[in-house]
Amino acid sequence: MRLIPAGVVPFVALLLLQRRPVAGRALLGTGAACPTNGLCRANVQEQTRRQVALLNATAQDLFSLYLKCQGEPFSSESDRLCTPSGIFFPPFHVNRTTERKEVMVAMYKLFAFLNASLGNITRDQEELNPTAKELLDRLHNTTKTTRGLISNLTCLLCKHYNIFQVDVSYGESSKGKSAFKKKQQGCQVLRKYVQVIAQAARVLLPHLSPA
Amino acid sequence: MMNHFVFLAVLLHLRTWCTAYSQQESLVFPVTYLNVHKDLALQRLLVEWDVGKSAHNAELVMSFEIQVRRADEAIVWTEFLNTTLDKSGKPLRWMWDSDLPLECMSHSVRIRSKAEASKNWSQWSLWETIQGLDTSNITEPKIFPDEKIIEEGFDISLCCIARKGQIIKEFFLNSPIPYFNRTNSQVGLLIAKNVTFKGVPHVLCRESCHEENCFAHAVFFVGRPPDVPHDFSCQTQNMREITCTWDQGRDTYLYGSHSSKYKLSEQFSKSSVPCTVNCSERCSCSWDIGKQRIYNVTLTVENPLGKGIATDVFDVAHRIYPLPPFQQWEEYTDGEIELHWEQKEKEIELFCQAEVYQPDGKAKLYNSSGTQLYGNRITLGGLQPYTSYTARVRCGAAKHFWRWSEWSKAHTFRTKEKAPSGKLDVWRKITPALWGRNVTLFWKQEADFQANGEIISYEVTWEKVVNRSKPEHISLSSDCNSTRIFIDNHPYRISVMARNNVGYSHPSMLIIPGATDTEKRLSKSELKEEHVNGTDGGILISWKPRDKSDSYIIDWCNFPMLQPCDLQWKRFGPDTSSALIKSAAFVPGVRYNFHIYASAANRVSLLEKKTGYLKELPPRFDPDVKKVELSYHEVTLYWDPYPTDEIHPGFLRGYHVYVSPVQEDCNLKGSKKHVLAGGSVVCKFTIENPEEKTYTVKHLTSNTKYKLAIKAYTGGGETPIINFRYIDTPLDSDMLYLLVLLVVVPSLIMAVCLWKMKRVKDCCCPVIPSPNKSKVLSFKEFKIGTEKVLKLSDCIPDTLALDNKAEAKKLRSRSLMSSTSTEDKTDDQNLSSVYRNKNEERSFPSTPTPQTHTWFENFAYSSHLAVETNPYETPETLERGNEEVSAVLYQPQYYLNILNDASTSSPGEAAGRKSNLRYISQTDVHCIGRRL
Repeated sequence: MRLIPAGVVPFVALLLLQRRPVAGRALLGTGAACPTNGLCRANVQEQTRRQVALLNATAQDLFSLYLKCQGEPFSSESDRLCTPSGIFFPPFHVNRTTERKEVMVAMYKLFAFLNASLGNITRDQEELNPTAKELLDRLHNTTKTTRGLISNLTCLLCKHYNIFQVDVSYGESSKGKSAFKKKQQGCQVLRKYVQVIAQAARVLLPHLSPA
Repeated sequence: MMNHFVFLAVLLHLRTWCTAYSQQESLVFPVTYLNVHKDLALQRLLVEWDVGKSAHNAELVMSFEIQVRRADEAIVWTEFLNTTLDKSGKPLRWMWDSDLPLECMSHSVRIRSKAEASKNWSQWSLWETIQGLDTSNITEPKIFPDEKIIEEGFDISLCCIARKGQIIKEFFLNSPIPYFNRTNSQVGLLIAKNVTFKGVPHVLCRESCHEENCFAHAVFFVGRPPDVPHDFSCQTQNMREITCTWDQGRDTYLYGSHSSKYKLSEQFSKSSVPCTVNCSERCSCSWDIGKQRIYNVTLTVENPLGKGIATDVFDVAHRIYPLPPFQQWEEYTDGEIELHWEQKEKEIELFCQAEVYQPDGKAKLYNSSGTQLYGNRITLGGLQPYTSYTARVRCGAAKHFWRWSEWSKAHTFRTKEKAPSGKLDVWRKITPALWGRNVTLFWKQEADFQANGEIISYEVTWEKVVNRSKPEHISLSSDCNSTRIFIDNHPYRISVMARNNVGYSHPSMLIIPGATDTEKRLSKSELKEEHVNGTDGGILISWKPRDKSDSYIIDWCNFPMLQPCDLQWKRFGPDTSSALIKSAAFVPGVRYNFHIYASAANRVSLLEKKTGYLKELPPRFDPDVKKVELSYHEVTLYWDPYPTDEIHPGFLRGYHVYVSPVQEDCNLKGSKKHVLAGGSVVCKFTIENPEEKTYTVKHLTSNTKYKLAIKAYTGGGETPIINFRYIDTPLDSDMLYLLVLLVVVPSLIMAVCLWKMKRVKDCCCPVIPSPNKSKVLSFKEFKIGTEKVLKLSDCIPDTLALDNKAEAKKLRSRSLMSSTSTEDKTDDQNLSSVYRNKNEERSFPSTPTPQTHTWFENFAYSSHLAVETNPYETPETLERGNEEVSAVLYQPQYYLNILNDASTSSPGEAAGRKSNLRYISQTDVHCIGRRL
């Protein structure tokens, strides 16, 4: 992780770079530095904790529904087809003893990646499973929550650590791939997401608990 | 010579022609060149071939037969192609679209030809083959086509190619779409016909192994081509920006990258329209007008299955769709509103319209008198004072009207107040008081009364009609609708007005006559109170019209039992003589009193009184019977006077008396039968005079228990009988006397007879002396053992009486015959007969007894006495059933038969028989008899 001091690097919209595993810098605020005030609401920590808890609570259901909607062979051979070993996923090597700032940055990277991946998965599923309304709704809702979480993490990083820019790596875009590969990639990402969000919830909660 | 030459020339020509023709018939032009290509995007075979150059030069008309074969299968396509060759020598071309992906297997083509003039086809060309992937070294199974988009209703064929040496074990659709497939070969086939949209089907193929490279996957999309955009039109709201809108039409089922794409282009400028399509309910696209005024806009919608086009040609100035007006405000009077608003585009000349919602919910449209370039206002006239209205405005282009704008936001306002119009409807109730009268005044708003604002008070003024004094006045708050004033016995003029913030209503006048005047007399006089009936949910009141009346008033109390009774009144025109009075307060069983007044010049006089019910109900209680007088055949009821006052739920019409014996149904003279709920019948007597207080029920039976009840009835009927009164009529003494006469006296006579039986018997039936007691037998000479025997030789008869044996025998046989014939008739008689035979058996045969008997056969005696006193009747016989008893009682018939026989005989015979049968005492006639 590389922390960029405020006001050094101009903003580049990196969240849209999704075609290949891309490393980029996400600008947290709208300017070249953290705003001096009015960025965070009073309950931002609590809201962040709840958002992570919500994602953690709904991740498994989302994954199961995703598998169900893809049909065979995903519903019966998910272990083989959805093993996330072959895909990129941002490293999340933090634990309860990790410094809070590092946790926050890792979180930011994780949810920035997830936000982009969920966008890809939603887009693919809208094309491949247009009638799976429940799945699409859940994907939309999860994406929304992730977006809110990123906003809150942005605020916390800025407020507490004056970090307004973080290097983020995004996964490979599924655009142009075969339908099967799109489904498989979504399956792999979501499976990994289930694992990592549980870990994130465990790690993040002590850091966000009210003092 | 010349002719010869010509003839030879013709012959030569004919020969040449014949030779050439026979040569042409056998000419063939085989395919010299055949090449086959494939277009995988279109799944099409492109075939190119040629025949000899001579055929081109001869410009022959030729036919070609083309065959297509798949792998080693049979020929899948045969087609004949006719064409005329030209001298250019260009090769011939033909295309064939395959329904199965060309990758699935090898496809081969061959061709043969035939000139039109020739009878013979050429030899087939060699097969020209395009290899499928089944022959190539693929590293994993593959499905073709993948991600194909097909139109709903069409068929799709898919194949799965296994690696060399492998066979397809599974090949299926993960979708409810029906399909059939073929597996267990290197190329698996799957065909779905007439497909419909059911999601995006996933196709899975597996070789006979389970490793990751043994699987293949694919999808295909089922969709529809886009509809031609509906309702495509363009307009402007501000002459700066054009917005085109349209309906998308049906769902195409294609989403994401396959969804419909819209493109707008302008034909005059030959350029695409720089706008971004936004579709929610309707699609729209907006762009700046620039300087161009006339447009020919083409909208193209396209998806992988087709496209649709819509156009709109227009002059921008003719397509003005104004923005809705805003910021409304108003200037108003009590009957008019001038509505103002703002319009965003001030340079567009507009024509506007206001819609005003009346208080009754109806809408009224007001058009602006002119165009609204600078002054945006409409005058809304004809409004009611102090009334709320809701208005909204819309506008359209004054020139080249295209369509109305959206309505502005609704704006609510209220007109100004105005003095009340119309008059109050005033009524009064006069109550005599010490030194004067209390007058209770009531008022209400007439139909034509308009408050025109908020009523703040009612003003009551009264003054003497004559010798006008200073008027007295009170002001009452707006929530009052009555007041009481005291006036002396002089006539008074009273006026009542309503007042609002602006002014007063016209006064409503009422003249109270002096206490000695007609009204007073009338009110106290004994006007006959007529009964009226409820009908059609109200009470119909009619009266005799009076001349010179300008109106009639009917008043009544809605709650006559309460105080105050909620006095109501209603006015009617001078030509009215009846009215149906309805009130929500009217209920059945309550008596309402109506007074009808005639009014002339604000003076009223009582005309008639009516009383009636909306609906009469049965009386609440029964008459109270105070006294009941009983005689042998009558009962008289006395009851208290039944009240007929207003508390009763109906007008009393009379009484019903119900009588019936307790043990049986009633049937008394002069009554009607009335069936009770339990089904028993009682007699019903009706008393139609409600004033009656007594009633006598006649024709009863003495010494009988009766039940009786009395019920009062009204126009609403009567209540059901719940309790009866029970009475016992006394025993009738006359009947007792008669009974004594008929029963006791004969009984006494019989008793006396029995008491004097011996004398009677001796008189009527003298004792028959026993022969054994005869003194004759006292002599020892007549004894043989214990038996005393009278020997004829011992007697010296002094007189000889002959017994007619033949007559006796005849009589006996007749009796027996009669018995036999009776036996044949009925069972009862049979029983009787049997009993009689037994009786005879028991009676007549001699039974061993210690006493000696001498038997005389006398039928008259034996038959009768056998029933009454036969000493040989056994208890068993007495205990028999009724039938036998009847048989016993029947026995005198035996005797009667004899009498009957006697009746059929001549009087002389009968007399003779009687004399023959008569017993002749041996006391008197010694030794004259016979032993039986």
